[in-house]
Amino acid sequence: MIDPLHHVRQRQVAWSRRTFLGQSAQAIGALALGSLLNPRLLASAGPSTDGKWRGVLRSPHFLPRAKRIIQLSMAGGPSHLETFDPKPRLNALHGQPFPESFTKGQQLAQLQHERDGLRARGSPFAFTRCGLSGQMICDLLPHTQTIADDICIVRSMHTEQINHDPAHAFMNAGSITKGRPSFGSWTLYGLGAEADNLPGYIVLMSNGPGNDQPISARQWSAGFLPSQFQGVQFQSKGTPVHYLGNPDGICQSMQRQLIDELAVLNGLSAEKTLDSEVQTRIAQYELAFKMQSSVPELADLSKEPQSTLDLYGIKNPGDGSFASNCLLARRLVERGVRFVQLYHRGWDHHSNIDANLPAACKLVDQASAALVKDLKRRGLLDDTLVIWGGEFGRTPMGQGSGRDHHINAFSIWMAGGGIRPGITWGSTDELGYRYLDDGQQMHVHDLHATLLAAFGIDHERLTYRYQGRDFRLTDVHGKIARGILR
Amino acid sequence: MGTVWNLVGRLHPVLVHLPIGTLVLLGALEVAGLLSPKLKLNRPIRGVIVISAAACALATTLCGWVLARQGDYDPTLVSRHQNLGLITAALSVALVLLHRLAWRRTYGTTLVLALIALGATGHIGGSLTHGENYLTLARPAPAMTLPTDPQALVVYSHLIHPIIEQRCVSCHGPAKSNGELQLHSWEAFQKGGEHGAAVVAGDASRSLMMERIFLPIEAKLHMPPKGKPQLTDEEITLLTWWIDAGALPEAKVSELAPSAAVDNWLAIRFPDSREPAMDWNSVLKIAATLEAKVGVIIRQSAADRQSLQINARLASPVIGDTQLAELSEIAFAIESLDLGETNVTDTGLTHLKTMRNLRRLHLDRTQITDTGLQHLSALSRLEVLNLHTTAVSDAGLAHLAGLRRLKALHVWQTNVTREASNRLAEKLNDHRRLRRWRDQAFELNNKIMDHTFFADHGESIAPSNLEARVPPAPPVK
Repeated sequence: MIDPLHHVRQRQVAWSRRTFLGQSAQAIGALALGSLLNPRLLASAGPSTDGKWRGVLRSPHFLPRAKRIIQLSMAGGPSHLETFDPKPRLNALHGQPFPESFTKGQQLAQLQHERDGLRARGSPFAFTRCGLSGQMICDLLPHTQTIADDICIVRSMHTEQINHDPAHAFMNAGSITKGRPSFGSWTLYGLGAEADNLPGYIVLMSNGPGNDQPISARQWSAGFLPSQFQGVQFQSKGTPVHYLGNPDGICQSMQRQLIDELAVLNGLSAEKTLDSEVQTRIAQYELAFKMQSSVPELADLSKEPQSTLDLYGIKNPGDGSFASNCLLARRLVERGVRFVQLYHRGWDHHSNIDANLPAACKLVDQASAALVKDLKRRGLLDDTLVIWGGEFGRTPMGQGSGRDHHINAFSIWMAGGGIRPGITWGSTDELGYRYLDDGQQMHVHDLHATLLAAFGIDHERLTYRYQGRDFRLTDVHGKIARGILR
Repeated sequence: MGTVWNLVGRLHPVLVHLPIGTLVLLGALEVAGLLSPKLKLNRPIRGVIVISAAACALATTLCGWVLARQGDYDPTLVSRHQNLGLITAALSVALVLLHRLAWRRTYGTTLVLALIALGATGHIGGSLTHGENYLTLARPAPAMTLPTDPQALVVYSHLIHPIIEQRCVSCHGPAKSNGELQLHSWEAFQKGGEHGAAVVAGDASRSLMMERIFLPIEAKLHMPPKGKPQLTDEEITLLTWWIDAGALPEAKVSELAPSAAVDNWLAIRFPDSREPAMDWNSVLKIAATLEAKVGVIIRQSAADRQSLQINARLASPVIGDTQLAELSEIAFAIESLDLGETNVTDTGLTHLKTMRNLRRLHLDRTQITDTGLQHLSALSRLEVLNLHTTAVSDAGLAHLAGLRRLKALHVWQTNVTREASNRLAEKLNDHRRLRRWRDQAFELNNKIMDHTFFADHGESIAPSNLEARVPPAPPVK
């Protein structure tokens, strides 16, 4: 039988006095540098650790209201005009030329070439005042209407990117430059995760009925942060993580031994190379080992009562649908995952919006509302923040039978985690073309600053030095919308 | 003309330092000359100093005389200061004459007298601007007998009055009452000043005092005036809280439901003497040992708060009553405790009694029953209580009736009925206060409506579209 430490032993024997001194000096250097980069190595004053990443901040800058976040990312860009931002004047103008005063000199993606000029497109769907708060929500979202008093609708969202991939990147990382960390990676880097047997940042994907724009894995990249902070995509159908079982003849204790020995070997390599990615690898092996037991337990939806499945509208648990993913998301945050991102594709309604939008709404409405209700009754909504929204909005001008991408206005809603419920924040002009500068405008940077504030993080103080500059999620921008925080 | 006089008067506090400096210097040089012949002043130089001292004294006196006619000063103190100032000035002028005549002996006596008069004038002048007890206040204040329980502190006398004493009374007190406002005692405070009451009980936002404090520091009316020591954020929070709660002279902390910020401040300033005296670092050390030993996750709530958040739900191995007992050592520091899905029972909940600062408590999916809830009745700061999927029932809610700050109670999948939770809501919701806020909101809304500008363009969207308008199109499809 081969001794797994064969190479190590050989190396030990071969060490001369000179190599010993050289290696020691390197190791001390590595330790010093390592403790600079990695605060947990010097963790002595605060509650100590078991080797788990506790976040570079150790404790938040100020009292956090949110500990976890579930982002329901409506990929494609839902129309704000048919969901959360009713515009009677636009409806009145339906089919008429769109007032030039709104669009003059503005960049429009594909509408520049519309044959008979820009024409206003009204919404044929009715809105209802809902709940005690009286928030206006479209009748296409009957379940969301029932949680009107729990959500904060932001109508003044605006972004800078007009195409899907860069707009997602902007929404995630506040930049379209490759190599910037996403929001989830930043929070994980800053605060660490509560769970040590699941990744702190998990991504799930589901599809609408049509051919949808792909979502690139760079969206949940850790960028220049150590790669242990990047999002991990789980399969939403079948087993969430492949190849978790041991091969025949290998039991968990052997596996444990293997991981331990690997950690020793990798540790030696880390000392030699000073590469933080080796530390990441050690951490990932350990995590993967723990996931061998945690993931099957997580994915086992058979213990969820039928009433819960009905609440979400799940026909077949674990079928990869948005509803099933929402339930999985709740189970993930229950188990201490910091950031769960659900991408649901199917909102890119360039054509036939009057038929396709109701279908898209129907796919997500019940489960989105159910998630909020389920979190609420479990007492989790108190410190779990739910966000629902796309990467941009859609034009109030028609594009054939649909609407084009639109960056000047879109709507999202947020619930829980220190967000003030039952309010509508910000507004758009009378045609829903552009957000109003009324002090409640919400640029993507402002949203990031506000979300970090809900986590107790001062967005100006969570930085990472890379290529000689201190980077932050909001770059040099970001204004906290204090009015929606409580 | 008025502004010029105003300026002349305001120069007094600046000029006043010149005769003081010159006269004291003159005295020092004369003494030095007596001690060592080398340092003896020669006549021309003495002449320069004496004349400048007299000139400065005269100018200062003139400005002072003008200022006395403008400010709201205590009249007795002002007349005393004025008389002494005149004597000082007269003596300084006399010094010039004596110097000219070279009456050495009389000159010396006069100089000593002038210095004494100068000292007395200066002292009374200081009392006028800084308050009569300025000098004595600088000494450590005689220890007030404070109650051991911070919740029993009388808000006005123990917390608010010291702030006012320190920040306001030098200009709004017995010595000097700018704007006819005196704040040194409760009776004086109630009277208000020339613009009316300093505070509107129950509404800090409409209180003149807070209005002045919140003005930007550059503003003329900002208080305390630019250059004077400013109120700290904590002090402003305390004042706001006290006024909002009704600006009562006798109310105790516990009766006014302090906000989280106030609580935090109180905890740091007035540590509960019933709690073990422990510095924060040793708390963190104990927390670290406990974390390793018990297996729970312990975190400091935030960098600026001395409190802990504990998560036992995600801990392994499983947490039960014995592990909970271990936390008693740092019980007072725990702000949030998640015991959901653990093995704690009613007996274990006795250890929660000492967690007086607990705000959030999760006990969902545990074996606790109504009996266990009696141990929570002393957790006066509890805001969120999660009891879902437990055996608690209406009887258990009775123990929660005293938790004035409870805002959310999760009782999904329990035996608690809606009637019982409604009864609890009735008890806990301070209806008087809610009604007052609603009235204020109504009033504010009316104010907004009354002051909003509207430009009515009828129905049009944009001028270019006036002709193009047609009746609304029917919905698409």
